Amino acid sequence: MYLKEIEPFKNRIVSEISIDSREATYVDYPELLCEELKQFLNKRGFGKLYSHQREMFEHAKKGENVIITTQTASGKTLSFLLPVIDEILKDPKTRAIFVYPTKALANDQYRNILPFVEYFGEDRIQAGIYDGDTPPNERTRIRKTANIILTNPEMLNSAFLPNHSLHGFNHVFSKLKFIVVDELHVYRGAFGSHMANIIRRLNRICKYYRSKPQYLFSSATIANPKELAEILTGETFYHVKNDGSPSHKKHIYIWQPPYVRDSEYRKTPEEEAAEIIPDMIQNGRRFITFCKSRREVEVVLKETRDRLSNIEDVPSLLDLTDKIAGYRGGYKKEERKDIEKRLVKGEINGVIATNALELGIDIGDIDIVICSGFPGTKASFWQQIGRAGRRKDAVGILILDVGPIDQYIAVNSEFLLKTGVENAVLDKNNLFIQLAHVRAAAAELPLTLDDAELFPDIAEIIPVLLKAGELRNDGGIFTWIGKEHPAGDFSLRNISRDIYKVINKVNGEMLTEMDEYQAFHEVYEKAIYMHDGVQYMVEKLDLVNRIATVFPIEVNYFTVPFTDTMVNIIKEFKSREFSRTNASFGDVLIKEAVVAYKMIQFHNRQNLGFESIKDNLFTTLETEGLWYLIPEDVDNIINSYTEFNYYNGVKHALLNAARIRTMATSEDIGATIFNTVEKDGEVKRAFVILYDLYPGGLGFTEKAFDYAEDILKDAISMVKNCKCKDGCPACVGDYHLDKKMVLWALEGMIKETGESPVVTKVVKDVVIREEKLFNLYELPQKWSEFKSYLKSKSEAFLGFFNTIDYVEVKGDLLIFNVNSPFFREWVLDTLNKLKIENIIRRHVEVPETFSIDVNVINHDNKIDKIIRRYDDLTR
Amino acid sequence: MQEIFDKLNSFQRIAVETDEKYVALKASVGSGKTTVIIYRVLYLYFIKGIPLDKIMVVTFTNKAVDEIRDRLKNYINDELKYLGTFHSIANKILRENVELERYGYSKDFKIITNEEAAEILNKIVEEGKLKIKYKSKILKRIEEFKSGNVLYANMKKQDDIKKLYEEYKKVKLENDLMDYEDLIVNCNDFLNSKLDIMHIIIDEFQDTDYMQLEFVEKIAGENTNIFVVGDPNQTIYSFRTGTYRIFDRFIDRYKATIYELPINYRSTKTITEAAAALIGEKIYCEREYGEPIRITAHYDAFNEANYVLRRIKELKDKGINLNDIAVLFRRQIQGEVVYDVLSRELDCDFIKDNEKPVAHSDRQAVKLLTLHSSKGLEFRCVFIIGVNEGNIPISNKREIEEEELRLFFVGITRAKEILEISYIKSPSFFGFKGYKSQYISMLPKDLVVEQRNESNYTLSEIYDMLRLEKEKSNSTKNKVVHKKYGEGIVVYEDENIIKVRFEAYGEKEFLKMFYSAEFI
Repeated sequence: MYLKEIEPFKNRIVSEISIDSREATYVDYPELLCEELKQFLNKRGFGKLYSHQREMFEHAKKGENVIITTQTASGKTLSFLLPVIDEILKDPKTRAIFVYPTKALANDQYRNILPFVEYFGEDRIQAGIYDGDTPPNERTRIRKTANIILTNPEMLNSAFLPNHSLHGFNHVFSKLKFIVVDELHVYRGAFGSHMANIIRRLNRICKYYRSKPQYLFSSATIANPKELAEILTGETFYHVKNDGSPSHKKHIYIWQPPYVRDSEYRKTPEEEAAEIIPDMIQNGRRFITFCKSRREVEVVLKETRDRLSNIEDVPSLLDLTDKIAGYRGGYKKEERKDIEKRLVKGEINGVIATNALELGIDIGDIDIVICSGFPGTKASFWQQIGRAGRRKDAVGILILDVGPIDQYIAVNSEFLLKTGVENAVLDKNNLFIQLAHVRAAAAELPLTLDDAELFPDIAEIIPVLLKAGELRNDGGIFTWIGKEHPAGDFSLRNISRDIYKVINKVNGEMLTEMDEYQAFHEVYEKAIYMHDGVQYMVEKLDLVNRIATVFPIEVNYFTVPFTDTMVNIIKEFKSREFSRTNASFGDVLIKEAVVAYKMIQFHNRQNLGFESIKDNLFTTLETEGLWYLIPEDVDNIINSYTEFNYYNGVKHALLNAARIRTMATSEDIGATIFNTVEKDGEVKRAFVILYDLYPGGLGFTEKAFDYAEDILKDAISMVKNCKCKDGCPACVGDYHLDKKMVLWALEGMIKETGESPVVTKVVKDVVIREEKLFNLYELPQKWSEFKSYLKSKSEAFLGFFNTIDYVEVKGDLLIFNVNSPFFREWVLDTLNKLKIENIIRRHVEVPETFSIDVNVINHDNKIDKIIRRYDDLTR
Repeated sequence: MQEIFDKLNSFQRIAVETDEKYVALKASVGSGKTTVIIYRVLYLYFIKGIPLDKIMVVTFTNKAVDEIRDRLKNYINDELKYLGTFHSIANKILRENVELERYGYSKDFKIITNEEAAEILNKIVEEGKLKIKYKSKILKRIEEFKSGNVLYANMKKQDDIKKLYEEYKKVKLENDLMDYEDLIVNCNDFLNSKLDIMHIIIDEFQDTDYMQLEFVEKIAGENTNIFVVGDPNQTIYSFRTGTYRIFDRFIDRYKATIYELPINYRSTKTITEAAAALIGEKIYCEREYGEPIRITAHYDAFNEANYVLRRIKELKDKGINLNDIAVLFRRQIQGEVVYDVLSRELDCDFIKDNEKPVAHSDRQAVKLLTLHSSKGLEFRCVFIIGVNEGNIPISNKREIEEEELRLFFVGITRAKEILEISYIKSPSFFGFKGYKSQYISMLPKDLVVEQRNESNYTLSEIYDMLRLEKEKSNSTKNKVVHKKYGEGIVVYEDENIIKVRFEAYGEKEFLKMFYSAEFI
């Protein structure tokens, strides 16, 4: 598909990827498929099946657990449904639980099941969605009679399992033959560890009811789908990977935003997206733009709408602003449904969305997918790109951010295609998560010796629960006697256990909740916290009641915390020497204190000052880590530079490489530097350590240890191949650092690299200078143009500027002509004057000494009119 | 013959040998009232020479009928002509003594069960397109209608209940059908002459209702003696039938002579005293103190049922016959959870209300029944489950609450030796509160062993404890190797627990049964 809208932006395209179409592989129905289903398929126009659908059916029929990893829209749902419905038609008591990560997805997939129910009749097959929104009588029906139950992990955890003996759930469990899990790749990190433990609990319950369900899973492309499925369930799987579905041609543009003039800063992907989207809407293209945060969705949406309402030559009657919509978490369910519906109907052209839309929801034909920034993992990127081209050729645009992976892609777009996708990592034996589920399991069914196999740390956990009075020893089995509903004690998707509330002091409303780690980093006393575009200052962080009190404020800076990290190696498990370094993996204790913060001015990033934090904000984290030994010569050289800490560059590069390898986000792995100390206090050896950010570790660094050497090599190549001249935030984390030096240090871990390079980088304090379209001296001529420009930028005081018909320039002075002396005083009020001057400075080239003044022009006739009117009234 | 009466105690003997025409015998729980009824019949037959067809014995359940019949067989070859429940006797009288044809019925009329009655009612509603609220409780609606209540539950407006009732009557007549209640009502309506009965003996008189008393008056002639036996403390149907103080009414009406059976032979002194404390009366007991009453708290109904299962298995291992064990509960739905759990490993009979027990003649089985259906029965071991506020008493309305207390009294007095009472903390049934019933607190503390647990830690508090355990350290000499933690030193050991200090992990406590380290 040719995209003419890309033409004006041609110079931004750094590379292009073309993916050829693929022919479908059709096969006959499997022999074992029952006649009724064959007839059904025939009537629905499926004369043949895709090869993967038959492959899945045949292996499922053998009783094997199967995982399928074919592309989006390849008919995965039918692959699940054939073996399940075949069984239901043979044994009407059969029950199957379909687990989806979101309610929306369950609703979407339910629609695919309905045709079977309608065709075979409710006396043969019943299905239903069982989630938080399901009304009581429907719940009763589903428990009693639904063969296929669509639900989510939260419901399994807190409704199905704890109530297994009640309300007919016992019948569900005793006849449970299939557990279907869609979008398996989302079960990584803490969420995955919880899911693995939910499956452990499910297995105990099924064993009690003497059933042994078979697993049918599907996953987007990740490196280790089979391994992930096997870790989650403890069972072996057959992997269906050959995709028999056809695919359309796809063309992907890699878009590098330009530098803001004279600066080291690139324009943001959001700004760039807002540039091209209006053209697409005008041309009637159907598209999705994926943004990385809720805030970015709103920014792109607003900027796009502003532009659409200002397009020249388009009559204002033809309003295009409602041709796009936002789509993100935080929108109401009805709103989201309405948007999906309008999108399918073609009433809107496109959506600006977060990854809330990423998971399989069908929104009809899409021509173009724009990724505003690389979504973090390749798995996620391909999932997003896969939303287009379900039925015809499609275009993808990846607008790069300044992040390290984005900038790596800029120089090496093959990364997207050629190298393997990420590993999904989880550790189901994380002690905290295990504890949470042992408690829940105990309440469901007393703990017996058999559970030692399921929960490896049970022998440590039980004595503590006995001591706490939560368990009772009933002659060799342990019965739960603790509080109600232990399965409700934790969240499957939130990381930390201590939740802080951020309260707006003005109206007492809660702005948000966050875990302790975030709270210490974002809402320490005097921090500026931003929410929904509004700034708040933190008045107090109450550590006892876990409340941060904030009040709205308008300041020109934001705050960034400074931390101190200490590392204790508790125990080394494994260690490997290679090249000139040594990588070790083990249990570590990380102590991090938030000690100070700096204030950074908006737009120009000037450091306005540095304040220490009085409160003792330290967190301890017992976790797992991977640490690299730094060769002595490298260590000596790095330490000889005192102006900047080059270890930060080494750490940054290794951390990024490890995150890419293990599909980890910034919430999964952290990094720091530490030294081992000899008895006399002399520094002995230096290390860079990467560690899991979840208590007890979730397996990210354990996985990284397996790739320790590759990660080091990746780090080197990312720094080496970065397009920047001498070091940027992407490759070394800080533009102050000379990348020659960082590269030398990293390479020095592999081979002796001789003399260290001379650091030549001279860092000026960067003062950002934006491209300014106007000059003070042209302003009188371009005044109208300038006003509509301000409007497109949604600047403040638009209402005021619109009352000004013309301006004059005298020397450094910009003079506004107003029609009343009151206006003059009002404008020249110090604060207003400053604000107006700032707005002008932002968009107009002005001399240093620039200021504004106001001239009152006579409008006597108007005043006369008012006086006359007033006279009339008083007379 | 006289000597067989010698084994009766003086209270029983006075009652058995009385010549008073109208007698009200107030029998304490477990005081041998069935024995009195048997010996009364023997006395009348052998000593007073009353023919068997002139003696009528009315009991409350078929099981009681069987017991009396069996025990009489030891002495008399022939059977009593009138021995049965009110319903079965009414049935006999209708067919033998009433000209049914005059009322549109035949002698071969058919009796319908409650299920069949509900089926007919539903069919009428459907075919006549009647508007009936609470259709799932249609029998209850009819019952209420008969006692004059046109509205039910939170109904504000009348529906077609009257029409339904009329139609139902018509259908029954047309098809020669009678439901259980019709037997007595029709007997009262159709019987025109007194029966030639010299003695009527009524068991469980405390739960006889007005309609049944009317029935008795209908058949009893001038010369008929009436002997009623019962325990007012065990009245558990007065709310259901709307019949209050039936003993006083009888005594008033007939100027009856009152006798008492005050001595309990059934239960241990422990159980008897506990029961007495509930009703605030003294009950004499012949037996010694026995096992204390065990009171346990459980997480939920499922855990409670599993506990009962384990206890029953222990009892079975000690040689107790399953037939001697009963599990009692307030609501039938509780029984379903227990049945599901118990029947996995044990034989058990779930005896549902209004249902004749299935005869499993020589099978040993635990009995699961509601407190209501436990009336008149006794077991060596009794478990009363779900003794939660909101379940027993099911409501705190005064007239209900008083009867609920008597129901609980009936429950605990079913036990001869072992009594266990349990409640749950996380209930799932409507109305159930998550704490124990006030009745448990009424039991004297010295008679019970109560297991309490008050634990309310959060997950993160427990996690901190777990971490603390890991950090503690101590030392002795025993060295061990653990799969995950490596080398460590045993710092404490007893029969259940072993504590090991590991170099890197600190001290850890293991249960020996789960412990997987090796000594070196």
